[in-house]
Amino acid sequence: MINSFFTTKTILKWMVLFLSLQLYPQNGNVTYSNKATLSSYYKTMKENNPSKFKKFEQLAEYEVNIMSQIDYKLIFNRDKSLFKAIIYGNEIGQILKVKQTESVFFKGPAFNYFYVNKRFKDYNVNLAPIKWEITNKSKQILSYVCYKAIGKKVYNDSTALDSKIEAWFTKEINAPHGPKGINNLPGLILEAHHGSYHLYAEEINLDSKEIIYKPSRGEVLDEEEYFKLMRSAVKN
Amino acid sequence: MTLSLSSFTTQLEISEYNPCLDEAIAYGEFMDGYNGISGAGHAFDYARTFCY
Repeated sequence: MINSFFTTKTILKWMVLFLSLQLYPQNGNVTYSNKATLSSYYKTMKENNPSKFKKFEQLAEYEVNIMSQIDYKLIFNRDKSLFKAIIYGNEIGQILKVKQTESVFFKGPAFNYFYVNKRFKDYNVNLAPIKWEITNKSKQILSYVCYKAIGKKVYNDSTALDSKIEAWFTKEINAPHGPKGINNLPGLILEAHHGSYHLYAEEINLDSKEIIYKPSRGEVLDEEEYFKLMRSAVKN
Repeated sequence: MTLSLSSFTTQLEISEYNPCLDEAIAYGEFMDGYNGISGAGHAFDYARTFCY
């Protein structure tokens, strides 16, 4: 009799715990800094055509400097996440606010895209899926044990787009999210390297009440179509 | 028929070529100094709006 009472009590305790986890999924936000480097476009040009790179050098360095000053925020719950630049009151912040040329990444169970306004038009760009390989390598980031994963974007058409990704994720935060559309690992991504972006988590808040809103609507394109468009001349 | 490494390099350069960034440089050179912003600043502004 006493045994069955304790068994029932234990089952009830586990049920309450299970239901509470279902009802209150882990919500939070992460702030990332970006230690930007030259984009692969400029790197290739610098290696293959140094005389042409001379013409682009100032722009390339200016871009690295500005991109390194932008911080980003990822807001997430179990199902959805939103990743965007943090708009400060400085000059760069004003440019980003007025022009809205920084992408806003939105991920849910059935979608993974970014919103951006380019060439005075709104776009919703569906991101190519990432094929991940998780390694045994680990390190601590902000007191969380993180594992290294190597990803490759799966494009329909093989182009010169930079598809290799390195990410460090923690299983201690059960949310398949990460910065800049880099996600779908079994835990939150706290460090990511893709092209000229090198994003490092600086602060984690697991008690966030921020609302994850859907970005503005725009013309729907896939990632390859978008980059093809951005690499075309404006003055045609 | 043999393909040399230089064939691939040329192909990579062509597929990576971004004429929009050439336009950004030309715009930067034209606007250099306007509103106290350098040519690189204007080129960056153009590139962020149109090229990435």
